[in-house]
Order: sequence, then structure tokens, then C-alpha cells
Amino acid sequence: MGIAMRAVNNRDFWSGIMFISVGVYFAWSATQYSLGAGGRMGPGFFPLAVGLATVFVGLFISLRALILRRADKRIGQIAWRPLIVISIALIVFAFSLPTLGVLVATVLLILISVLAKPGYSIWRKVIFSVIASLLTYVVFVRLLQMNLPAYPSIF
Amino acid sequence: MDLFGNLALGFQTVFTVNNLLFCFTGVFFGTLVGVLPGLGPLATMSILLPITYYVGDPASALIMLAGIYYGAQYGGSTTAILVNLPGEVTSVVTALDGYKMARNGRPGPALAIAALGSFFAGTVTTAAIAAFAPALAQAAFLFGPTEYFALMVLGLIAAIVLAHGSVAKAIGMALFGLLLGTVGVDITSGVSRFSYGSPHVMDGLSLAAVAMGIFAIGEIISNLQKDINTNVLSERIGSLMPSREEVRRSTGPVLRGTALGTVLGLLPGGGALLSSFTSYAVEKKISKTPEKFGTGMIEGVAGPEAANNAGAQASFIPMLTLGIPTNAVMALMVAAMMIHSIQPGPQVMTSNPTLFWGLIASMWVGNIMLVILNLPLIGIWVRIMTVPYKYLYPLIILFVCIGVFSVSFSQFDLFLIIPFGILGYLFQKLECEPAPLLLGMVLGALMEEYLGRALLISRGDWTVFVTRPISATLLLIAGVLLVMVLVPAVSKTRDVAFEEET
Repeated sequence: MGIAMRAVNNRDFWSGIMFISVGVYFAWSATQYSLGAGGRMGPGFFPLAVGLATVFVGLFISLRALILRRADKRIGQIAWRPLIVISIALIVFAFSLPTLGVLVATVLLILISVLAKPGYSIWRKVIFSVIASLLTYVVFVRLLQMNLPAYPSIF
Repeated sequence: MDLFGNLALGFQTVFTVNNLLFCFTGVFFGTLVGVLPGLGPLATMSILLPITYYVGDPASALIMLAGIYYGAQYGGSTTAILVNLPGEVTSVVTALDGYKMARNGRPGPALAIAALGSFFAGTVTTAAIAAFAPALAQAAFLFGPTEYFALMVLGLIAAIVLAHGSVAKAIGMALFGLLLGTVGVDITSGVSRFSYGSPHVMDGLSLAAVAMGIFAIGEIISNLQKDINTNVLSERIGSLMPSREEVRRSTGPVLRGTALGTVLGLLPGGGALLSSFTSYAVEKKISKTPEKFGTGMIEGVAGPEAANNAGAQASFIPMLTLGIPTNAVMALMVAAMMIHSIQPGPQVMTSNPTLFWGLIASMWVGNIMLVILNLPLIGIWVRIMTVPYKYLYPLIILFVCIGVFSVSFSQFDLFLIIPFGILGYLFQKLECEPAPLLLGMVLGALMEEYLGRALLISRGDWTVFVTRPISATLLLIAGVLLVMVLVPAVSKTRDVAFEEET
């Protein structure tokens, strides 16, 4: 049980797991494509070869982590709040840009993003997001002539 | 066309209002980014990359992006010296002695020597590029698919060697990048891979979304966790004039740093970082008072500063002549060229001479602008260093989103940012260096294509990589680098060098 406990909190162990998963995924999926023969490489060859190499490297890293069991490789705390807040902000922006236009989407993006770092009044946040939204409109849509949807699509 | 004719063409291209403006924008943002912790030239370039599409003239776009890269070298030195917070990884060595000089009451001269040393290096390197690029491009015609493949392998290995932390993890990251690069339609066979029938990834995963997700977003999440705050400068800067003694002591290091940077920048994986670290090590070794390094030796500022600027500019050469990106930054420049439908390679010099020479000339002009920005106008940067991060990061997220969307107007790409942002954060927590991944992804499809063609030509004979001389040499160097890194003695030095960063 000792090894298992320490493995869970080891950076290298999880790095290795990550590589193994990625490698397995690509190598496995690659087998559905032709591997080619002789001098002609098929579409599956490169991903399969590189995928296998990745699995190999991942195994090496994880096993080494298990064997060495270095305490300084512990994973610190995960920053859940910024992670989740920013992910939500990005999702909202992705959904709202085409339908609601850049002006609204920007306001939403900023308002949600600032939740990741608490510490100043709600009014400042609103003003900040509105200014940012207007600046974005002026700079990107007007000045740089970018083809961004500006207004909600009902207009 | 002779050297002067080429340079004349270059300066003609640069000295238009448009291009001067782009050059200035580039170096300005570069310095800004260099000054601000938590945002690097790589992230900034990837954010501005899509905007270059709207710029129209590819020369202007490249001039701006290039400005960001070497501009960041200047900016990073400023914070390194003033507040011991290297804005850039490449300024880490500058902070070692530069900050001590500031504490000893001589921040001005440190800044001045850093800027002037960088300027000298920039000038020399620009001239070197102008002089040697044509010759190198000629040599490039000796390169067939076998050689290109070997060169890319060397580039990846070099990126791995220079990555922080564990070599094994860096190798994994490079391989991961290669795999990501295979997503999309395979050029040779026309088969659509790893796409689950989705039309959105036919051209491959959006480089912008991946790069910005990993570098910018991942960095932000990590910074929010660390709760970083930009430091306030407590001491006044005072006079910028260095003493005669300081100038005298700096000449040697600046010359050596320039030479080192120009050579090291050429190598795959080389560039500003390798050059600055090497210069510091060299200066310390040849100094009569090595133990004083770390207490405020001007040589420790002059040498690395010259080296990192020379290295940054020299690293353009392989990209401009051979068309191969030798580090992640150059990979973005290649992407920029491709956005403008320019195929990077030795033919660029002859088919787009205004682009080629304009870019080279712009580096010199950019350096002049930077000296002005960083010395007399240093007050601006001091003020900027006090902007609270809480205003900065939402804006960065915003730029990332606009940037990604503007590349292909694909809502899918916007969604793509999210998993890569999370991945970027994960990489930070797991201590996996993302640069090799980016390089791998850019090189992925290319490497596969060249490998395929090499094998096709050799009819399935794998030994061709070691029987052809150039290819064999490149692979040999790659092998040597890898062995060097794995040998304990060398890896300890490497660990120490990267230790001093934290």
C-alpha cells in the first residue's frame, strides 16, 4: 500500500500516465489506417510508431517515479477555482460570440473571468468589462476591420 | 545582388510609415511582454499571430512578430535588474548580477550597459545575417528530404535538451506534439485521421488554439494560483550613465557575448536562452574574480545581454534560409509565413526579396527603437509594472479568444482552447515543459512527409539516413546532444542552471 499511496501524489508518475494514455490512444486509433508496405508509408505508420514510443517513454517515467519515490515530486494543490471559472468563461464566450455578438460576449467573458480572483467591488468589475467590450469593438471590429459578429443576431 | 544592394532594398522596405509602425508595435509589445511577468514572447506572438492575417503585407507581419521576440529580451532585462523578477526566462542570468548592481546603487548603469550591449549585438548579428544568409541558402539546396528530416530530428532533440526539468518528460512532450500534429488530413494519402468525421479539424488542430491554450491560459490559471502581484519599484533609478571603468570592463563581455550568441543562435534549439546562459558561464570562467559573480559584476550583465539579443536574432537564420523552425518561436514565424501563403524555405530569399531583406533590416531598426524605449523612456515601464494582475489577466483571456476566432472564424476552435488551457495548467503542475510539444506539433506533419519522401526515394531503405553525409552528421550531433544531457555530470550543471531560476 505504501507505494500506491506515494504514487498518487507524484508528479512524474502522473506525467507518465498521461503519456501512456496519449500514446495508447493514438497508437490504437492508428491501426485502423493502412500501415503501408515496403517503401511507401501509409497514414497509420507514423502515428503508430510515435504513439508506441510515447507509451514507452511514459512507462519509463512512471516506473522510475515509483522506484525512486522522491518526496519533492509531490503535486501541490490544484487551483480548482481559477480552473473552473476560466473554463466556464471560455465556454460561455464560445457559445455567445456567434449568437450574441462580440459586445455582449466580451462583457460576459470578463465578468465571469474576474470571479477567479476575488477582491474588488462588483461595480468596478462591471465598468471594467464594459470598457473592455467597447475597446474590443473599436479596435478589432472598426480599426482592424475584423469580421466579428458585433451585435446579437436578432438585430 | 550584392550585400549593399540587398541591404539597401531592405532598408527601403523598412522605412515606410507602415512598416516602421509595425516594427514599433512589435518592439513595444515585446518590451511590454518582457516587463510583465507571466506572459512570454511565445504567448504574445501566438496571440498576435492571427491579427497578422489582417495586416495584408507579410513583410509587415513578420517585422512585427520579430520585434516582439527580440523586444522581449530588452524588456525582460529591465525587470530583472530593477526588481529581481526576470520577465523572461532569458533574463534570469541578467538578474543574478544586475539586481545586485541595482541594490548597490547602480541600477542605471546596469540598464544602460544591458541596452547598449544588446544594441551592439543586434547590429553585428543583423550584419552577419545579411552577409551569410545567401551562402547558407545556397547550401540549403543540398538538402533533400532525408536531410530535412534529420535536421528536424536535431531540432526536436535540441528543444528537448534545453527544456527545463526531466529530459524524459521533454521527450514525451515532443512525441505528444508530433502526435497532435498528425491530426487532420494526411497530405500523402488524403486520409483524414483522428477526426471522427468532423470537418473542423481537416487542416489539423488549430495551432492558435493549442498554443494560446497551453501557454497563455495555462499560465494564467497557474499564476492565479500563485497569486502573483507585480512588484512595486521602491528605489529611484537615478543616473543612467555608466562609469568609464564599467564601460571598459563591459567591452570584452559584449564582444564575446555577441560572438557566442550569433553562433549558438544558429543551432537548432538555440536562441536567446542558450546564448545567455552560456555567456554567463563563459564570463565567470575567464574572470579573474569568479567568486565575485553574483554580487554585482557588470560582466555578468554585459555578456549575457549581448548574447541573448544576438542569439534571438541569429535564430532567424535557419528559419529564413532553410525554412526549418529551430525553436518554438521560429515555429510561430513559420506559421505566420504560411498564413500569408508563403512557403518557408531557401527560395524565399529569391522569390520574396523585399520580405527577406526587409525583415533583416527591420531588426536593426527595431534595436534602435528599443534602445530609445528602454533608456530614456524607462519611466513608462516602471509605471506599467504596477498594473495589478487582476486587470491584466481577463484582458489576456479576451485577446486569446479574439485571436483564435479571427484565424478561421470557427466556433470549434474557441471550444478547443479550453481543453488545451486545462492541459497547459496540467503541464505546469506536472512540470512538463510545453515548448517541445509546440515544436513537435508544428514539425509533426512535416516530419512525416519528409520521412515518407525519403523512404520513397530510397525504396524503403532506412539506412539512407546514415549513409548520406549531411544527414548522418546532423543525426550524429543530435545523438551527441542527447548523450551529453543524459551523462550525470552534465545534467547536474543543467539542473543547477535551471535551479537558479526559481
